[in-house]
Amino acid sequence: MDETPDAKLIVALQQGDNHAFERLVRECSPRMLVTARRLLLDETDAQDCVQEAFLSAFRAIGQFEHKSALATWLHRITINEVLQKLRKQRRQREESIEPLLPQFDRNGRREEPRWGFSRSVEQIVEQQNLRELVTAKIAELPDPYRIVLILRDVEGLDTREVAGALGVSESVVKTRLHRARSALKTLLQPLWKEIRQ
Amino acid sequence: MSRLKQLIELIKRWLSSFGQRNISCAEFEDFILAYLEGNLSARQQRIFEVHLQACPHCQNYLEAYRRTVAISKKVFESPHAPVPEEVPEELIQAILKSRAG
Repeated sequence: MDETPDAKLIVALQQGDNHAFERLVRECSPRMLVTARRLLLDETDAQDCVQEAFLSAFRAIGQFEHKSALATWLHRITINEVLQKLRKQRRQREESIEPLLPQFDRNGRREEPRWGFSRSVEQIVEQQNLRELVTAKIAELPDPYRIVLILRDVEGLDTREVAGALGVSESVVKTRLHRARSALKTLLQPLWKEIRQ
Repeated sequence: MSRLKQLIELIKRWLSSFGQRNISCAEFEDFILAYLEGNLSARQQRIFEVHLQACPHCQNYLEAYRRTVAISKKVFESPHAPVPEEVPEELIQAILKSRAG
């Protein structure tokens, strides 16, 4: 029998051990809440989704097949709950992303300032309040692009998983991801220093 | 010439031109994601890199794009994203209560 901590916890959960359930909630809810907050941008909605995710997990724990760690399984359930909520809300911000995308002249030549990179990525990441800046800029993206960017680049799902979760083709995911990254690059311009020509 | 034949000729010209001329910055843009994920054919990769080597604007753009991706990933990894925030005790209790109910 698998004696890993996860395996022991799963056995206890499947036997209905209340202490095991409380331990699961206390250990896993912080990470789940962070994910829900990133995607929903609303605290009440985020907490609702975490609660729904645990209820789904409690109902399905008897069928848990050990194909992933418990935390990973709960993470995926949380994402599904969030996406369900977003679909029900139908009030996604759908404004155009075009103003944030690269522009080209009629010959297809790029029209964009050139940037100087005096600091390395590691140096930039050490900057105080960078996480708040990046979080705020991601929140400015239109929802269809923001959600794909977060699922791929922040939450670590692959293209196939994102396509399945959103009910769109992999091609759509790739297009949205590229546009989201391009737009975020534009929004993060304070990090790049313009080269004066 | 029938419309179908016109369409076939147009597609043939587009396909052959892709291998025979430098692509524009706008065409380069369309292949950035596939390039970074290693999903271009060897021929497409050569064409992409020919443009990249010749175009300082696209070199600069690609560098900023790569940095954007790297920064947005790193910023949410620990230790830059340390232990997640506290979960309100009311939420914990609500979850446990809803299971019991």
